Amino acid sequence: MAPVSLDQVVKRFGDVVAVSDLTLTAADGEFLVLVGPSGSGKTTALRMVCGLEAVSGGEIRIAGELVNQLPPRQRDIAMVFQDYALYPQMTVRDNLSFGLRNRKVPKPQREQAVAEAARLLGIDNLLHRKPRELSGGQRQRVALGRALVRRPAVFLMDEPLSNLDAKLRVDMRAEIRSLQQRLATTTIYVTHDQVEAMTMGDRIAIMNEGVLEQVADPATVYAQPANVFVASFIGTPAMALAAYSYSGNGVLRRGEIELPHATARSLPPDVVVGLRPEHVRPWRPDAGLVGPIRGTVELVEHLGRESFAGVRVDPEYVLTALVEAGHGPDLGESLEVGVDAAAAHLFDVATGGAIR
Amino acid sequence: MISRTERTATYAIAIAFAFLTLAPLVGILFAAFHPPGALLNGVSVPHSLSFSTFSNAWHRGSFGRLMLSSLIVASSVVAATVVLSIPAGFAFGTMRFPFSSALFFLFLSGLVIPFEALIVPLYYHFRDLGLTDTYWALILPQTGLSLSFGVFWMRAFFRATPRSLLEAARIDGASSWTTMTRVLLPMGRPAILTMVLLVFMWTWNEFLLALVMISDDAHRTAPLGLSVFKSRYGIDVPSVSAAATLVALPVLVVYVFLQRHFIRGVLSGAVKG
Amino acid sequence: MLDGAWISFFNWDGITPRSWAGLANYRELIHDGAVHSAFLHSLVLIVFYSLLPVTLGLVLAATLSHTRIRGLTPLRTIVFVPQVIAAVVIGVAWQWVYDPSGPLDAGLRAVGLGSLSRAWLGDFGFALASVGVIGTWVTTGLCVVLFLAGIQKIPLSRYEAARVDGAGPVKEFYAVTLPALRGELAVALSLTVINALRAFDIIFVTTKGGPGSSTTVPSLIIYQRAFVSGEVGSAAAIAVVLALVIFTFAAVTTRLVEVQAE
Repeated sequence: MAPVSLDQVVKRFGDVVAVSDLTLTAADGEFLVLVGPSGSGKTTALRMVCGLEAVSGGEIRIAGELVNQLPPRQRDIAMVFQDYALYPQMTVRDNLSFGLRNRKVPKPQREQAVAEAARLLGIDNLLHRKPRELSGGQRQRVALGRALVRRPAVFLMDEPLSNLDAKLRVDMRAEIRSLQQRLATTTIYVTHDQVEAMTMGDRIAIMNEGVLEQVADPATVYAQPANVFVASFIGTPAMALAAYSYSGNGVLRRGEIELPHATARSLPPDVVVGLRPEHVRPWRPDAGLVGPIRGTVELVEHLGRESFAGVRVDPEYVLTALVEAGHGPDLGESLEVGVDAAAAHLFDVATGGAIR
Repeated sequence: MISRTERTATYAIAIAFAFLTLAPLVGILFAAFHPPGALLNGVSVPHSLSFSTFSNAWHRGSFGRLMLSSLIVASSVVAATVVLSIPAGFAFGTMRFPFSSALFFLFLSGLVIPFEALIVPLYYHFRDLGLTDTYWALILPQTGLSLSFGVFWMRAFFRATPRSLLEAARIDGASSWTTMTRVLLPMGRPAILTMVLLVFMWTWNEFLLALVMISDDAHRTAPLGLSVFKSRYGIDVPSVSAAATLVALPVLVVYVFLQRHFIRGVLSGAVKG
Repeated sequence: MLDGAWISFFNWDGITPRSWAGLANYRELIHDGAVHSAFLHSLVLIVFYSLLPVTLGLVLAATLSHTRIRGLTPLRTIVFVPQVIAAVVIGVAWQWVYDPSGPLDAGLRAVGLGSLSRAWLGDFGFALASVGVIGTWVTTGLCVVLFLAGIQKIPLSRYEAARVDGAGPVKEFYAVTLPALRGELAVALSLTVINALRAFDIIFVTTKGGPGSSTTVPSLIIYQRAFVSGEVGSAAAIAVVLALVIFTFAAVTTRLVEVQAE
């Protein structure tokens, strides 16, 4: 149970900068998710906290203590790997107790820790089996158990769920989360799946090409994305982004589309406007929407409870609209949509940063 | 669908092939069951399964001594190769250090350069060191040669080990020694076994080296002994056949029980080479 | 330590001081008829030790796996045996086979072809081929096993696609099997050719280069000159040439395989 702090951490591989100037703190007991596309540096950052990669610059502290030079075994951390990394020739029991044995924990404590971890994860009936006799989900639990058994100060998890099938993944997400809350151990969790990030994290840290784009709780990241990258990365279907022009009269214009937008600040002449699907609906005159905006339906996704339609309103602009399930338009059909202009997100054209 | 005739024809081919392969060997086996000195014509199935020729040949050719020598040499080479190639393979397979490719290439070249080319300088070197007619003359060169294979083989094995496994062990607090003994070696049992078998077989069957290095009776190895026996008693087909069978037997027996490992070893070694 | 010394031998130019009495030894080699014929014999042996077994092995492996028969594993065990037996033993066995009173001639007489029977290994014309056949016998099994394993790796779906496309067994072989075995082919060829070039044990035990000099090979000449007739310098020179030939060959094949593998 300890906070983890990264202070201006840099990682270089030769000429390539994998992580640049990362400053981030996971509070004691917090479940912090590092999310981003591949190559974003999130796994590298995790491995530096773990001690598997050396730090090129900056400081990493666990429980206030500087750990840059400490090898993994001295950092009181545990890691769950994407491919589980279970010792194939050992039984589950031995897999779990290996770390304790290396630390010379006496037998009775060892046995108790193993029994407890096994019970917590529901694998106590598998203790005598070998990894190759287990299903994917069971192996995953053993990997978790191995991390748990030492009651470290920090859990580090590197995409532990990506090798599981979809249904299992959803179940395990909840289980990992509730486990972590019970144990109140600081956890840093890496994933490329933004849904996983949003559902699991106390806070999400979004990384892109080695840079931290934003760190905040899920609601904030969704409602107040710090820049264009975050805006389009978080949220499915993605936010529709396009350039609009502003001539100072409170109206954002693109072609024939006019969005009135009350702003406390004045806007530059060109602005990127982002609209989430839930703010784009089929046109109805008395719904408080701005429109009608006409376009052709290019894409329809039926998700059961709701449906989305991608409407092309000009050659380079597709607006995704939330439509009622069952009343969806057909492909190729012409559709009129209305926009909740007040909910539009504005971003600077040059920097991509949010304009508030 | 495969027709009946096709299937029968293929079985016929398979059986013919197997027959042709075994025929010469079965032939001398049969010959060996005849009384010593008997004159044979073509293939003659023995009347009785008497082992007298075998024991006769054994004593006349001092095969006890020969087998022992071969055993000593083979076991030493195997032991040395295993002990040395595991750490070396581990180093080459998992670590990066300067000159590693050059060094590895050096080891590899041992696989390519034949004994036949090196035998001359080797002999004179050893003669100058007074090592001819000793087991060392056989053990050292063969260890070097086997190391080429062994390092290559173990390196391939270590390379195939997922890095995350080693990292997990590191995080679990395992020292390099613990990682090796409790994680890697148990995983590597089949690979190591194959290496042991192959090195044993190659060393046991080695002829040229023994021919050049050994001229006294005490250190002669089995294949060389067979050659000597043959030049001495060549006309006595049954006896020579019995001797030949005796020499081939140890490796053959091991092969029959562990052939899976032998074949897998040669195949994957070849493909990776 | 001693290992290191041993390894240094690998890179050491193995020429004893004696032969440094001139690169003359090398020059002599160019005119040395005995050495020429030895290398020529090696070329012949390459056909028997390498080309023949590889071709046979390919055809056999393809045939055997095309018609999914059972019992492939025992068959594999059996045909691999020649690789396991010591060369000396093989020499003894085949010497008996080729002997005038041995099974080959007996068999020929039995089917009325007695006129063809002879002392194969003592016959000036046939000795080299006879030795070659031994090599074919030893190596074909290895090739079959190697190619069988390679064929096993080819996904069944590829054959099924070919069959749907109307390919007969021969077409299948050329379109699916052969291309997939390129790697194995390269390995088989390089291994077997190198073995042919090195051949010593079997020849020493059966013919010792005779009759006359019809079955001499470079390694045998090296042995004879170094340890029998005392021409150590010449022997060392031949050894170097042999090593170079083998090395070049290995390097060439490796490069070829790498190119193929792309």
